[in-house]
Amino acid sequence: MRCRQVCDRLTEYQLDLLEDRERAGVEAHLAECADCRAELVALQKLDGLLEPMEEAEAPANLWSGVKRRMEPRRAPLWQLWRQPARQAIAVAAAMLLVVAGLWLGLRGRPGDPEDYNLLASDYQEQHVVAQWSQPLADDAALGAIYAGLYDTGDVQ
Amino acid sequence: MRRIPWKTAGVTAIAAAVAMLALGTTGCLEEVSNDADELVRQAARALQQTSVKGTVITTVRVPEGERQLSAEMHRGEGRFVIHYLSGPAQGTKVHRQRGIVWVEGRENDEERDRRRRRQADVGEAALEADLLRRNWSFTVVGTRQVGGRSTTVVRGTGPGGSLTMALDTTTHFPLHMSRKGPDDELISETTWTEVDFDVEPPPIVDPPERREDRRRRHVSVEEVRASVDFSVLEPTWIPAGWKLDRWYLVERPQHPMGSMVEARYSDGLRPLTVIQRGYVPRDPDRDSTEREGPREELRQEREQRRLEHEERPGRGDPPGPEGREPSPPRVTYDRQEVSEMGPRHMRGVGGDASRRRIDGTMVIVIGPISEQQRERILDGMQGPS
Repeated sequence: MRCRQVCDRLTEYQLDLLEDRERAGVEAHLAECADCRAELVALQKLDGLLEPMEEAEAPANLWSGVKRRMEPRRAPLWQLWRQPARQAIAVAAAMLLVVAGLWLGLRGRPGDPEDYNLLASDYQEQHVVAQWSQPLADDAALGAIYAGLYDTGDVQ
Repeated sequence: MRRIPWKTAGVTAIAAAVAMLALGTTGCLEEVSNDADELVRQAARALQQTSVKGTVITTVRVPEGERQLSAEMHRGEGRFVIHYLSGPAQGTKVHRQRGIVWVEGRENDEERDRRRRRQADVGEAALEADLLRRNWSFTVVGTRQVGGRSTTVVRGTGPGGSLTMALDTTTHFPLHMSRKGPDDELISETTWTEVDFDVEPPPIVDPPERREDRRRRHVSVEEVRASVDFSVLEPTWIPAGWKLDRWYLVERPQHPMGSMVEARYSDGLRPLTVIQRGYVPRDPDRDSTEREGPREELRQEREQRRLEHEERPGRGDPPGPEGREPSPPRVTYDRQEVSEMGPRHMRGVGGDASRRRIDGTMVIVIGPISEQQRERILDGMQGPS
């Protein structure tokens, strides 16, 4: 298989949806191709972010509150002139929040995605082992990290 | 007859009473604190010796967020085996025996778990009472039921973090452990949901053969310097409360980056690691004459494979099919350039990291300290005078 074919199948591969033959082909390619492995790691990280949230039980009086808010309310005449201005202010505030969110998000993100790989392999393993050598180590948590470490090869 | 100075006597009596009360209160507090310290010591012993089997729920913070998983755990006499039932390590087992930790992959899935077969010599953890007392303050904060058993809750605060444990009142075994960072963010948390102390310790099993490609051993700094072909630096500044534990040499004869050196510090409960290795430039024209031997051959072979890979169909900027625009060029990072840009900061598990290239040495500092402190350590790295 070529890289493009493998990349097209990585999502199904990760979800274990490929047939045995295709899966074997993908795995054979992954064993040789560092770039495709990196794609898979990136996909796994993305998948982790998209994990469904836990179901939460709605409060008992939720619907009555929603219904009450849905019922039309007549605003006093003296407030009517304000409504367009309020909408404009709300739209401007929302846009400002979006821009600020994007700016903060981009600013807070690490500059190099390789950084995550770096610590996820050799150096992270080294630090996990160091944590294990301390008293009162959380064995179950460290074991999960240790077993789940992904070897990404010779990163700087 | 001399008159008795009632006023002076009254003031003196009140002052004495206040002083006695203060001394008494201090004594009580000290007693509570000492009790908590003793409980912590007993917990450390129980972790090593007590035989216990059951189910745990663990939450661990990873760079992408928090992960929760469940596992069956069986431990006793310094050994343990953890069988993960969910999460990234699902299906794998982690063993500890005689100071060695290793991972056993999932059955019938050898290829997929090839990379997970790790093994490390972690040694036997010892509680260093002086260091612990200097950095950590423990108090008993109450009682709680965990896994159907009564426990005493002990909370400790240290330099930039806290540890809360619920200790079984009979065995002192920690049935709950929660570690938090300086901003009270969760680092890891483990709680026993089912627990049985009436069990034998896990059986002794033969660990797998040691990985030939990696060997970690405790050595002196002089031996470290004699064993590697790059300049080993030493920190001239370390945050208060941290003490040098020991130096380690990690030999990786097959690895293109060569051996690593680690200076490990401790605050009594947590490690701070300063890792060093030789800087290997990426440009083959630039370093072909700098390094000789199998490492260089391996590196060149890897570089050749990378170049061949980029020339293969499906990579680079191939002509697109009829009627379609060719795909945009893939964004790549020049790792050499990244390395030379200066310090980089990374999120990790159990501590964030910063790295910097200092002449021919790459230095990586990992630990539960601030970015500024990590940078200051890097600023102070010096070679032998």
